[in-house]
Amino acid sequence: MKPEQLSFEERLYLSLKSLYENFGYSPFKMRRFEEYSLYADNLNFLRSRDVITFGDRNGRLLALKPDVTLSIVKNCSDGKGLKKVYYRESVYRPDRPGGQFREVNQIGLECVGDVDDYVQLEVLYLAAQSMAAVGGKYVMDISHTAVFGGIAALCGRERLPEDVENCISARNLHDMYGVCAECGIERAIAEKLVALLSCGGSDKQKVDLLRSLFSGSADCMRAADELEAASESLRRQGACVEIDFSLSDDPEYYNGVVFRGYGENFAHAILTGGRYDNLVKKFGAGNGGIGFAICPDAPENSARREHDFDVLLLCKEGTPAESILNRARAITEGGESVYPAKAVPADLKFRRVERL
Amino acid sequence: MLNVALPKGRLGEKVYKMLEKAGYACEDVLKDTRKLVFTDEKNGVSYFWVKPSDVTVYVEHGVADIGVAGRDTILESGADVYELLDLKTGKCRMCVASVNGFREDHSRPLRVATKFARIAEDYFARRNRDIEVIKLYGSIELAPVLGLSDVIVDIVETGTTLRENNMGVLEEIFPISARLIANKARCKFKKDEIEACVARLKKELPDD
Repeated sequence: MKPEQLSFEERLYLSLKSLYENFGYSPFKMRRFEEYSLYADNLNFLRSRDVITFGDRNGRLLALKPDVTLSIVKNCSDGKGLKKVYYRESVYRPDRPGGQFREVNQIGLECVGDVDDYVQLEVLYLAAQSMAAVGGKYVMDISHTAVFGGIAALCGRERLPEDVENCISARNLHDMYGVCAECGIERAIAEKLVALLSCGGSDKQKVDLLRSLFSGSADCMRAADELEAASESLRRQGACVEIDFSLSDDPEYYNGVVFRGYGENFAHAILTGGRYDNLVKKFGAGNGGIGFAICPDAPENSARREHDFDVLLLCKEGTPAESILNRARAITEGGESVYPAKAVPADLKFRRVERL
Repeated sequence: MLNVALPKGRLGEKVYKMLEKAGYACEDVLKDTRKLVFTDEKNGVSYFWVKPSDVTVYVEHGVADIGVAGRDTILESGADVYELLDLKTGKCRMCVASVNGFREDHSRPLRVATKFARIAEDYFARRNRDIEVIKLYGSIELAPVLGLSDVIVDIVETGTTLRENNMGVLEEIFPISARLIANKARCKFKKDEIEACVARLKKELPDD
């Protein structure tokens, strides 16, 4: 099959498969379903708590997998060394909270076990490379859960109130003062949050502002150091990354660097990922985990294919079946696709027409 | 080119005039015509009129880079968009209201008539109050008057309709005004254009 005959997703997968294998990742295949208890016991580590369940003949409750990471971490629970895997799987979850269930095709990778600074940088680099492989311009936003974890700690809380988090992720600065006041967050913190989120400029300026605004938080200082190092290293590798503090992913799932990839031909983020050490430790699978998934639905602005098949083989009524087959074979052996028919199909396009 | 989804009606027209003053004029936008899309190459802007509740849909799907929607519409839709500016216009309140003299019966779920099911469910869930949502599409005030519901959750602007129906506000849920919203992905690739638009619009905002 010629590359242009492959679907967008097939081409992307072949390109990513080669990229991941070149960096030492092994393919990981799993079943479409898991025992429901895996998800019920780890609801905090699911992006959506809506799961499709069904019973098997033995009365066990099974679930169509809503997430890939849990299954991979569970299978890495010997806790030895570092496991580097990539996958291409379908997951089943609602398209939005309370929305319709969808089958989502995901390609991604996970590193579980001894995750060190190099492994983290490698995963960030491969995420950026994955975005580049999609085609067109891309931007990968990065942030760190310790930024708002640290600010919450300064307010004597485990995490910021949900309404404040909503303002952060929507970059809603005009409601921030009112929402903070309602939630009992002092005005000085609200002012610093607004200053941090309205900061433009370079990544260096953003992390420096984080350091100066929240110098009393060791978590914020750690996040600033990690983000600065990651951003600078990735830029030197040619990646299009940008620190965006409004990227505040679920701190119950992630506990370190988080990132999200946007492509110019897509209306939504198509890549999400981050560091999830808590899940790995819970399963006894080592000290850390980091990974990402890319959901490569066809780009919305992609050009429609100019033709469906190369050759329309128009055959007169009564043409012997074997003659049609012989000609069709000859055409395919010449590297073209063929569609034998007695009349021009109304809904298909062809590069050329041949009459038999 | 900046693609802008405007809500049909008075609010959209008011915000268009702000955009026009900010340098985003486009001929014929306010003319009485059946045309839905208006483009001005010189000012680098393309407007389309959509049903107010659909603005978040057009923006979230990236067909529009930015749009104008009330806070009620944004919260009810749950759209994953940036909310870049409070346009300080179209001000009103999302309220719980009922007939005057209403006394709540705590022995059963509260029956709430509303167009805003998500907002109502979220508001009462935070109060740990069990409710039964009765989804309506218009004349919400009629529901408690005729006994279809105990209370309503709806937008209150002046309160005249409530007063004329012997009703009153029990609680205010949140204040509403028009917001400038933006698609998250488009913000990455049209950053300068969108930031310039926000900066220019800020100068045209009405005083508090």
